[in-house]
Amino acid sequence: MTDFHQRWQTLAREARRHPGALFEPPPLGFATRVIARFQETPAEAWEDILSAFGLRAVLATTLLFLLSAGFAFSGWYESRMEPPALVVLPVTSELSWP
Amino acid sequence: MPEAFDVQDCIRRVRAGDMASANALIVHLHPLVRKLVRNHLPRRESEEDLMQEVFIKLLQKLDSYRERDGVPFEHWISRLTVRTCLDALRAEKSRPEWRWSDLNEGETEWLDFLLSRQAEAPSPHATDARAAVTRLLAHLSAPDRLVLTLLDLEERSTQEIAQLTGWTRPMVKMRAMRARHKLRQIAQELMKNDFP
Repeated sequence: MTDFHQRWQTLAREARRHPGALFEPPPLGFATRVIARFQETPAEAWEDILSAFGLRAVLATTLLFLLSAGFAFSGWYESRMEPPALVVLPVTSELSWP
Repeated sequence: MPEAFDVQDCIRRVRAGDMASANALIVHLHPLVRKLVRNHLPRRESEEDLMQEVFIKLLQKLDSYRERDGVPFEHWISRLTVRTCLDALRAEKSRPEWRWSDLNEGETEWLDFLLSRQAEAPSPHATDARAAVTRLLAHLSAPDRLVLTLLDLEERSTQEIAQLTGWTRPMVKMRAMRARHKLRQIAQELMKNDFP
C-alpha cells in the first residue's frame, strides 16, 4: 500500500465520521408530487418491451441473430471464393482473326 | 407499538393500482433513497429532483421486480438508485474549477496531509474532511467517483458494488485502483498550479 493510499484512507475514515443526514421526513407533498408526475409520464415503448421480456432475453436474441447472420455471411462468402475452373476448349477457326 | 411495514404486501397493492399504498411505499423508502442520492449527487442537480426521478422509475419498473428468496426489496431499490445517480453524474459535462485558495483552513490541512506536505493528520474534523473529499471526487469521471464513494465512504464490499452497478468484481477493483491514481494526479496538479 502506497503512502498516498494510506493517507487517502485516513482522510476517507475521517470523512465517514461526518454525520450526513439525520432522520428527516420527506418534504411536505413529496410523495403526492411523485405520484402525479408518474401518472403524467407515459412509459416509453422500448422500456415496456424491455420490462416485459427482460434485458437478458433481448441480449440472447441479439446474440442468436448475430450468430445466424455470421453463418449466413460465411456461407455466402465461401460460395464466392470458389477456385476458378480451368476450361479446356479445342482450338477452332472461330478463335482465329477474321 | 407501531406495526411493522410489510413491503411485499404494499408492492402487491401498488401493482393493483392502489395509489395510497404507493404513497406509503415512497415514504417508507425515502430515508434509504435520500442517503444514496445525497452521497452521489451531481453538483448542479437538485436532491429532490433526482429523488423524484428515482421514485418515478421505481413505480414504472415495479412490475419487473421479482421477489427472490433472500434478496430484499431494498437491494433492488438501491441498485435502481445507484444507476440513476450514475446516469445523472454522466450527464454532468463540466468538471468544477477551484484553486487552493478556495479551500478553508481545515480542507487545506487535509490536502497537505494527503500530498505528504504535512506529516501528521489534521486534528479530527469530519466536516472539513468530508468537504475535501467531496471537492476531490468532483473532479473524477462519473464511474470513478461512484466506485470510490461506494468503496471508501460507504464501506461497501466489491461484491456489493458489483451487484449495485452491474460491473464485474475485477472491474470494480481495477476501476477503484485507477480512480485513486487519478485522484493523486488531480491533487498534485492542483498544488502545482497554485504553488509552481
